[in-house]
Amino acid sequence: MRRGILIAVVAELMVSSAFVSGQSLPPLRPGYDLAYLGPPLADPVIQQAKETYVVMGCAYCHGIDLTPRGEAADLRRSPIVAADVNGNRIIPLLKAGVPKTLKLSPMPQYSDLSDRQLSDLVRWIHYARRPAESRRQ
Amino acid sequence: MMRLTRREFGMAVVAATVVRPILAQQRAPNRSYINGVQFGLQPFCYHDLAMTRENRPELIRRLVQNEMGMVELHATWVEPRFNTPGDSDEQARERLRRWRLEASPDYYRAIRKEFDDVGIEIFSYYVNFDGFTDEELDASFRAAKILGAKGCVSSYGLAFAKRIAGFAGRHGMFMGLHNHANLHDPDALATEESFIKGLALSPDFRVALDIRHYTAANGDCLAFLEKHHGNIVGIHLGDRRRNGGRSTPFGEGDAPIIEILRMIRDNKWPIVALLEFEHGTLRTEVEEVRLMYDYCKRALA
Repeated sequence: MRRGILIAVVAELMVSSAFVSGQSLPPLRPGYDLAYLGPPLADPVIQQAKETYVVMGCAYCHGIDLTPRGEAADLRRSPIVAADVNGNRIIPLLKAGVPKTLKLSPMPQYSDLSDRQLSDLVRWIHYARRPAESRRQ
Repeated sequence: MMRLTRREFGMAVVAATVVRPILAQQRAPNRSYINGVQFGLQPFCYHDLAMTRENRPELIRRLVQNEMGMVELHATWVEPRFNTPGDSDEQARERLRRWRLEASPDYYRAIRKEFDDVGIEIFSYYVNFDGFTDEELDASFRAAKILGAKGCVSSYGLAFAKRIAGFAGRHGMFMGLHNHANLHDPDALATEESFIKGLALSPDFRVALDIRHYTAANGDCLAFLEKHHGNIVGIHLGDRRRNGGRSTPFGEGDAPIIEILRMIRDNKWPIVALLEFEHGTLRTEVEEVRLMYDYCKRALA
């Protein structure tokens, strides 16, 4: 019940903010979990990156907003992410995974993803790591 | 003829008298017993739901919505958190330790009733035992027993398994050895060889096989089940790609989910299949569980 109300309120806010800003937001996919994923972002490129990040399972360990769970690396404070330029550090790591670790569950490798999907993951990590006020909406 | 040492004979007797009857109890079917396989859920699947005792009512509501009659309950759904502002992690840990030792049996009975009232059995109690004192270990097994669990499951390596050997048995329960996909750490439970070493440590140790991680570690799940089914109490059912690959929706990875379910059904093995997945989705988690569960049901239709 509360979840239903929350969804309705968020949906209403989305419509109002789109109306005020004069932007038309992309339509929601059927079944889109608005309460968990938040309203779709105005920039479809960033929204696509976010969806790829979620669907590929990154959010499960690292969090949608990069707040990690369990033993996952904190991407907000990761030196690899900090040093990354256009995926030059992150993409090789994604393709290889992190098999040599003493953690219980090593990070999987994502060598089966397309270049586009890998770039999406990089794009979302960099976007989500920026302070909220500096993100484009 | 193979001769047993007195110690081995003793372990065999314990296994026969303590653990076998526990496993036999699993056979009573319930709401999520589907065509010969008892299903349940590991609620990690509800990625959006923080695993706190405050969220337990929502967890139960979702389990019912997903038509689950069995669950592997993580202790965080049961125990309080003591991370109050200003307290260090050590202080919070110590408070939790004290709470565990002092918690009333009625506290756990009331939680069991919450699940009983909606027809959900707590099959196993998942506890991160790392750093537990002996008293805490005993307290956790006592809690698990009151909750109705047949045993506890935890993630750890062989060295820690040795440390907790014997605790489950004296509470008439099993201790589930749970694998991940770490092939680099020689202490990790990840391969058949490591499970064999783990099982040898205690007669009340059993296998809680995670078929996703076993697949990602390039293990042969079907061969493992064929060979070790007598020691397997449950499987964590999900999909991943081999060679340390990622988690996927059921049917899109390399784990032989359909074959495993049919193997359990056809052999009438008392192995509980607990849905657990880490793949992402844009759908609600309840809807995703329903879709994965439907995949399993179709496999057994």
